[in-house]
Amino acid sequence: MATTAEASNTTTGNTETATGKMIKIQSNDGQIFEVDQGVVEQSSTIKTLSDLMDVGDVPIPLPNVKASILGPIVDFCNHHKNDQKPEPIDEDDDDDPNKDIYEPKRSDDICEWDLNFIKQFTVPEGTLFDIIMAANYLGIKTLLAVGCKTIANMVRGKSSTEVREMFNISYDPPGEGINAPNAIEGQAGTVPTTQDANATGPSPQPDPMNQ
Amino acid sequence: MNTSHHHPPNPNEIVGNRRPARPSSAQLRSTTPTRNRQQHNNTTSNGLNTTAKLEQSILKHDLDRTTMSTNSQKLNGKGKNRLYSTWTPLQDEETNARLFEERKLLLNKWFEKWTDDQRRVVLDDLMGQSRPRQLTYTRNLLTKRFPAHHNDFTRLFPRVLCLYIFSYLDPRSLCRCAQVCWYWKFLTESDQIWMPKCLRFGWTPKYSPSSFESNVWKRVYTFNIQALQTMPVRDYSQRSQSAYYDDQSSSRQNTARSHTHTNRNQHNQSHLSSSSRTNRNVEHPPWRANSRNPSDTLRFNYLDNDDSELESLIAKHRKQGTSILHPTESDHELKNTTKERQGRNRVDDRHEHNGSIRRSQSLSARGSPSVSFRDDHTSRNSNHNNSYLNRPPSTSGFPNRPADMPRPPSSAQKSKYSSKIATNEASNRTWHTMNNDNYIDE
Repeated sequence: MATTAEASNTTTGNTETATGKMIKIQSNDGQIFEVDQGVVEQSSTIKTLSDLMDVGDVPIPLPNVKASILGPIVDFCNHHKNDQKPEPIDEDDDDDPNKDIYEPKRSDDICEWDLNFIKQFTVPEGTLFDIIMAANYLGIKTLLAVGCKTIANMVRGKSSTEVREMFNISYDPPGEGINAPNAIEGQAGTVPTTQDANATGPSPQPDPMNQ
Repeated sequence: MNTSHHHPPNPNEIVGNRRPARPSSAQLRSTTPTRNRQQHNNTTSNGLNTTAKLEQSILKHDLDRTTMSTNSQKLNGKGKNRLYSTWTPLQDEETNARLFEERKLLLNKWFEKWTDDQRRVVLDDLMGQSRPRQLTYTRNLLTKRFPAHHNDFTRLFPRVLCLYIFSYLDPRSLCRCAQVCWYWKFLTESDQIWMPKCLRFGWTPKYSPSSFESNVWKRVYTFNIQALQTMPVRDYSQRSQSAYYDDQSSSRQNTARSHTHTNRNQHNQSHLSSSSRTNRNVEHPPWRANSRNPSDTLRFNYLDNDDSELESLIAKHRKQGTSILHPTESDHELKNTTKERQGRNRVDDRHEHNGSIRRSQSLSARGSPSVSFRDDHTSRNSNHNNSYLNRPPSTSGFPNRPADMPRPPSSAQKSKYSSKIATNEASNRTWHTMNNDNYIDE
């Protein structure tokens, strides 16, 4: 796979930052990944776990992440572990008095590698949501931002009907469907009448469709 | 409902009943085929294409034959446990099961041979005939087989994540998202999203909202945006550089007197003719020159753009000392919300007069850029003209600038609005009365 090859390249080129200590993580379906310190640094969850547990050779279980999702995430972290910590205080904007804390967040600043990375996950298959959930669980802020920006980009500029189609959201306009004025009462009203008519019938199931 | 089992009733009645009583074996032979035919006629009659009709008639024929044969094979009329299928009125469970099996096979056989279109027609038919319980079953089967993957992410994610996603969106997209469904509306109108958007421009609610109130910040935002859109934007620095305006500013003192004179005259007339309007169009009254290219309104939808546009606009306002927050003082809509700030800035008559002038400008700038309308307007307010002539000399450098531009919003406005509310409460009443005066003038 190209991604793993790239990942191994980055590992070899970056031996001085990566301490030799490798940590094993285990997805919920049993697959074990070996990651180095640079990857662990990015995920707050794994970092806390490894610090707390002081793991030796025991893999850290990650019960919320599937192997099919964890693999790409490890690739992502491998690719990004050389980054210069772009803004270590990404969330704590208040620290910088010069920064406009209310500056609207941009969602078009995803770098190219990330764009290609996130492209393999889609909404119809649900993998994009899985990635975001996993990134949220693992505490990888960069990946979470990339995923959320992708979704925001998908929503932006769409009309409400398009959004509904995209995310499979059911909607009944006022006065129709489930929002009809007597949708509930109509059904409730048919129940006793049907039962009365078929009092001797073997099927006690009222069927409003036949009325 | 027919309850006599052993005395064969009228065959017509049996046919008409949905769940007939068990007929005798002798009657079975005679009635079953007709009932079959009726059933099939029901299904075929509702708009199928001809091939499907043909297939169904063949199937019906086949089934009839099967029924006949099985009926002749096994008929023991002693079953107490009657299974009332509509067209298998047999008492024997075993026979019934076999019959059902055969028919099912037949159905499968035909179904395999049908084309995709035909299958769809048949499926449509079946769905139409199914009862809610069966439809629910079908849906469960389908969801098991095709899990709905493209889910609504707002139901999947925790609320923090949803808000995080929505925080990337621009106001227009947020408003559209609010139309998607009720939960999206709830999310996209939440204060966490809109508060930074407002605070960025120093917009704060004019009252301290109670903790039970929601969507306050979105209302603040929309209100301010609306105020922005009705506000004329004047680029004074550029105008004063042009020769035309310089010339006019030098001769301001002379023309002013003559114009107050003419205005008074016209004030006496009840209605101004169009000819007089055009005349005065040429004359260029001193207090408000028309712009030759009426670009003093920015007529684009602010929601369309990114915040950068809005930001530059607001920065321009700030630089020129125009507060964003009271663009159209006399607007009925804005009266209640702006009154605190208005009350602070207006302290004397001159301010009030300025408000009416500026309103007329904004109104005319919205529709037509003609200056005559403004002149009419101000001439009717001619009792204010004195104060206009007594403008302080400090502002005379800008001939078109009203005497008392409100102060630019300070930085304190951004941070502490609660204290401001307290100070502004006192001035509410005074402004209110002044504002009424404005309306009387109209």
